[in-house]
Parts: sequence; structure tokens; C-alpha cells
Amino acid sequence: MSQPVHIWFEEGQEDGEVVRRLVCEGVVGPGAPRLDLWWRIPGIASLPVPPVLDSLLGGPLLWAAMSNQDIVVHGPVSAGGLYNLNQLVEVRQRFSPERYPRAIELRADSIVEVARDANEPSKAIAALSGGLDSTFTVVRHGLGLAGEATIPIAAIVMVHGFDASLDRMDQFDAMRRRAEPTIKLLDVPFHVVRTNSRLDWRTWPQSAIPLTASALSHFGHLAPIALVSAGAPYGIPRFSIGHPTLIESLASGDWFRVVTDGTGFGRVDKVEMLAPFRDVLAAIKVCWAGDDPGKNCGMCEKCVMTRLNFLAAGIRDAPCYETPLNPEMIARLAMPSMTPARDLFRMCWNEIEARKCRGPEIDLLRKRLSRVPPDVVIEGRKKIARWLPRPVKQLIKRALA
Amino acid sequence: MPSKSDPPARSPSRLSLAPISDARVTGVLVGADADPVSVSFESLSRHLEMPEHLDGFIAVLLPALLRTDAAVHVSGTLTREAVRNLIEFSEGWENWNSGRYHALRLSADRVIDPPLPAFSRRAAFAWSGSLRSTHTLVRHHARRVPGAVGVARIVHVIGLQGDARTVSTDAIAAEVNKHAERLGATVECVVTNAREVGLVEAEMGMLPVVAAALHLTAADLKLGFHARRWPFSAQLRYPRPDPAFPDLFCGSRMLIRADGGVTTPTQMVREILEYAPFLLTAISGCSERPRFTPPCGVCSGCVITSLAFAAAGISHHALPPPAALDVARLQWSDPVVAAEATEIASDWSNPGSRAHLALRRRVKSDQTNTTRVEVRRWLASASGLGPIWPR
Repeated sequence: MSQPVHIWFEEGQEDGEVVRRLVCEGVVGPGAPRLDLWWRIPGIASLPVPPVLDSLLGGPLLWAAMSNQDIVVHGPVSAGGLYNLNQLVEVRQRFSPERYPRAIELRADSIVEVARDANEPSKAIAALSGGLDSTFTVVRHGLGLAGEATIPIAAIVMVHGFDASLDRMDQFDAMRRRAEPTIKLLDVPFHVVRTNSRLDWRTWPQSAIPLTASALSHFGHLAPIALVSAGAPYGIPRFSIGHPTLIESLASGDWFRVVTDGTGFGRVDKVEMLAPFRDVLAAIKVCWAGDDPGKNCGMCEKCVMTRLNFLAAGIRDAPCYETPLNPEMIARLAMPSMTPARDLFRMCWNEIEARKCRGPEIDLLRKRLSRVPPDVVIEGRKKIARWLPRPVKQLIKRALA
Repeated sequence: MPSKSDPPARSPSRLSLAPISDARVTGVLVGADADPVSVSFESLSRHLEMPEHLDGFIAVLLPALLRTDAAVHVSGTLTREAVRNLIEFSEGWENWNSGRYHALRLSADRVIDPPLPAFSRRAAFAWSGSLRSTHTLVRHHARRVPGAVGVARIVHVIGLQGDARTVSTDAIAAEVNKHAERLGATVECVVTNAREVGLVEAEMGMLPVVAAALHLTAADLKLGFHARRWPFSAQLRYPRPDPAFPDLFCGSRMLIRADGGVTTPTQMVREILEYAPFLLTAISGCSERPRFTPPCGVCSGCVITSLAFAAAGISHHALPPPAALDVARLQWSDPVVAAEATEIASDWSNPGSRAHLALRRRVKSDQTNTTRVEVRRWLASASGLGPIWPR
């Protein structure tokens, strides 16, 4: 067993803006032996100090688990936060033992009771990335479209350091500009949080929601809820371990808790709910593949999937793309095995099938997906391929294309 | 768009509390064109008070509501958290099986919005007597989980497994008390007619009823625990048991938290043996007979329990040691049974017994079969003879 990681919290002000840090010492692996995770909040010179550190610990927890290191927090943690974060790593370890060799333990110097004001309404700080899921969530709750389930939004936060890397200010600015119609529609305070907490990609996307909650928690004095959007819906036939709602809720503490919204909805449901807001639909940005950071490339898997979501919702010419969907885009998708095709099943095909959609694009997608071989066939094929002459290989490849 | 945003087709059902009679707290659901459903809870150890809110009652009525028009008005108070959570629960079930369930439209005379309670140091624990719920109890009691909470109260709901009418409820309560008192916790046995009136939906399990019992009996503690009914490995199978929800039975006055799901059945037995061996004789996974009575010995629940004990190197007091024949009887089509059996096969203290070898062969054949089915489905799908694979 490795030595534990020791974590301290620091807060200061640099260039007139709040900067908060988790100083992590005793780290094994990249960045060893000391890592500083920081969050900067542009335009804000001071914020109330968080009473507990729960919400900042989700990211370090996962990379410490990858390095098989326990965590000792030299600061206050709530009893609920302590229990939840330990459960989070226990469940993650069960799902991905190859990535997290042991359910590490998170301990804290002080476990404190925190209570919110008895008269405080249950509002939320909502995350907005500009993608379909988060746009759905902020519009649904910001405009009260969830009826009795609506959580009023106290502020919206966009994080720089996740989708757009810190050295790509141009990308982030384009992302923010593109989301402006949505922000304007909701008319609530908007903040940016810059952070290096994603570190490398090792724990992504499993750390995505815990780290989003960390960014939102800087505004935890305004509302008790971190409102984040769901990815895969509850009803998908095959479970997705990327970031299921069940696990994300474990990034909650007694002071600030995570509510994952929209898990009961598919992507087509989400497009349908947003359909009356054409400017909002046009603002959706789902991919980072193209040259222009302000636009969707329109051709990558995520873009084609989203175009098909729009098609299933009855919108052939999706306003967030410059050109309409055509079958050629589906024909070009790379689907060598189940792994790259899985999202197309989970987030696209199941809903298309349930809605009994018809058309040349659907027929082509069906044809393409029906030929995707199971992983075991890929493995077997690789073994056999070593012994086959080239013409035979080409024949098989052509037959399966 | 599914019915989530559609206006209700007819006037909503109404849920109200009936006056307490015979020490029972009763909720009555009156639908527009269905017979009223009357569900009651009675504690065998004290008179239950009229609840401040109806979070628990609306939870227990969910199966009935989601199968019908799914619009309900509560004549009374709900908490804001329960309203949001139960709507999400219903949306999740509609997303899972839209042909059978409908998203819930929920309103109430009064919706209160207090801050959620902080995580308490002591909690009520639902204890069915199953290996999973016993393990949840023990791992908190023995502080085997970081952030563990004390076991202040144990709540057992009578009437969920088997035919409880064949056994005296007092006899069951005496058994529960006998085992639980050594944990130093108070015991509350609750009798309900939820199953008799059709409120237990096989696909949804017992949780709505258990959550209702916790809301009604442990409001003072503000925190209740129950064990997950499946191991996480069952969620990775195809088909999987049910939608994996977060803790959607929490209300603004009380947190209802799920626990467990990561420990193998064998390890659960080992930990109970180490920290609370006096509870081993209470454990039953029987689905045919009431808990805390002799198990049937033949259902999959009994076989899994007996295998877990054998794998840990001990025998169950009321079940014969498992044989190869028992392994063959396991209902492998149930993802929970298959996942638990697979976990037991890979965690056997003294490998090599006939039962273990039979179980390993069964697991191996399951894996081979899974591969075969995948390939067959792919070929059928690629040739246009079958539906697209995988769904």
C-alpha cells in the first residue's frame, strides 16, 4: 500500500480574483510529490469560505484511487460528505478494478456538522457547457418547464479547463459566446470558473461530474444544489459506467449536493423540449473536432448522432449545423467494433427505434449498426487474421463493410 | 415527446390519510375510474402518530400510480425533495418501460421546502433478514465502512415475503427482537397490507414499501438505510435488473439511503461471522416463506444463501449444504441470481468441493453461452434475419 496523499485547502486573491487551491502532498505518479489543484473565479474578488471541503475532493479521490493511495484531509469535511465520497470510490473500484486497484479510504482531521439556513429555498447552481444535455437542464429548470420538479436556478456556471483546455482561451471564448442566447433567455447571474482540476485525462469522464460539482461549489453559499445534466438515460438496456446518476449523487455532501437532471429523458426527448426555442437549439455545441472552435464540425460521431437525434424529433435541418444531414455522413462513420458504436446505440438508436422513425438515413444507420461485430469476434478475427493471406483478408473486409 | 409534458387526460387520483384506527395509519388513494386503494401500516411496538407529511404514502403507492394515469393530488403535505425525487423516479420508469409505466404528475395541498437534514450519526436500518440487509446492518454496527453511522433502530416490515398470514406476526417480531437486541438497537416491526392490495410490483421490488415504513417510523432520526437489492455486477449483465436510481426516496425531512452492492456474498458471510455471528441464524434469502421462519430450501434465494455460507466455509443452520443439483436449479435468467452466483464462484474459501466445481462449471457455461448468444444475434442482425444487435 502506498503512502497517503495529504490535502490542505488554501484561499487567496490574485489579480483581483478569488483563487482557491487544494495542496496535495505525497502524491505518487504524474506531478509527484506535490500537486496544486486550483480554481479561479474571474470578476469576483471575494467569496465566503466554504464551511466544508467535501465538494472539492471528488477529483483528487479518483486519481488517488488510481495510485492506490488513501487520502487524509487536513480540513473540515461533513459526515455525509465523508460517507458519500468513500462510497463513491468503493463503487467505482467495483466497476473498474483495472483502473482503481483498491477502494482507498478518505479520512479527515475534522468531521463537522453543517446546516443551511432553515428559510433558504432549495435553489441550484447549474452547470452549462453548451451541449444538448446541459442546455436542456438549464432551460428546463430556468424556465420552470419541469413543473413541480423544477429547481429554481440561482446562477449558471461555465467551466474553463474541461472541454476547452486552459491554454485555449479562444476555444472557451467561442464556447461562451455561442451559449449567449441560452444565458440571455434564462436571465440569471452567469459566472466562469477556471480550473486545472481535470489534470490529465486519466480519470475522465468518470471524474467529470465530481469535478463539475467542485467548480459549482464555489457558489455554494447561494444555493444548496449543484444542478448537473445527465448523460445516459435510466432506460438504456446496457448499463453505462461513464457517469451514471447513481454514482454522481455520491459527490454530494451535507452542505452542497449534486442533483443530476434529465436521466429520465433521452436525447430526442430533450431536443423536443427545446424545439420552441430556436435560438437555443442553434446555440448547442456538441463537438470539439473541427478547426473553428465556435462551430460544430458536423461530421464527427457526436455531431452525426446529434443530427440523428434532431431527425428523430422531426427536425431534419438542425439549426446548430450549417448544412442538413445527409446519408453520406452516416456512411462515413467509423464503427470497427462495439466500443465506438456504443454511444450510437445508447443515445440514438434506441430512441429512433422506439419512435419507429423511417427514412434513408435511418435505413443506412440500421444497416451500419447491424453489422458491428461483438468484441469477441474482433479479438478472434485479429488472431485469425495473422494467418490469412492478404486477398482473403480483403474479401472479408469488403463483406463486412 | 412522451407523456411527461402532456396535460393529464383525466382528473387526478387523490391520496388522503384516513383517521387512525386500530393503531393503523392508513392512506387511501381514490382514482377517477378505479376502486380505491387503502394501504395501511401498523407498528407492533407502539402507536404510530399521524405523519406530518405523506412522503412515505406517495412512495408506496407509486407502482399503482405509474401503471395507471399517473396523476395524483395529495390532500395533505409533501416535502419539495420528495416531490422532485418521485417525479424523477417515475420518469426513470417510463424511460425504462414506456409501454407499462407513465411519468407522474404530482401536486399537493401544501409543499414544504425545508433544507435537507444533515447526515446523522445514528440511523434506522431496514432489516429484511436477507444476507444483504444483514450485512449492511453489521458493516455499520461494526464500523467497517468509512463514515459509518450507528444503528439506532431496526425496522422490519412483515408481509413482504411469502404468505405472512400463515405465521403469527408476534412470533416473527419475537424472532427479530431476539436477534436484534444484541446489537443494542430498538426494534420496530411494521405490518402492512401493501402486498395484499397489489402495491408490490415485481420489477420495482419492495423498496417503495420499505421506504414508506422508514418515513413513518423513523422520522425522529432523519436518516434511514436499506441494502441495495442487487450487486453492482448485476447491472453490467444484459439484460440488467432495473434502472439504477440514486436515493430517490429521500424527502426534505428524511434521507433514505441505499448501502452495499460491492461486497461478494461470501465476504458478507465472513464479515457477519466475524462481527455479529449471532445474526447468522437469522439470515434467509427465501422468496417463498416469510423471513424469520424456516426457509423453503429450494428457491434461488435459498440456494444462493446456502452457497454463500458454504463458500465462506460454514453451514447455514436451516439449509442443507448445497449440492450440484441445487446449482442446476438456480434461475440464471434473473440477473441478480446470476451475478451473485458468479461472485460466489470466484470467492470460495476452500475451492474444490462438488458444489463449488458445479458452480464454476455453471459460470463457465454462462460465459460461453453469453458469447454464443452475442455472435448468434450479430449474425442474425447482419444478415437481416434478426433485430439489430445489441439493443
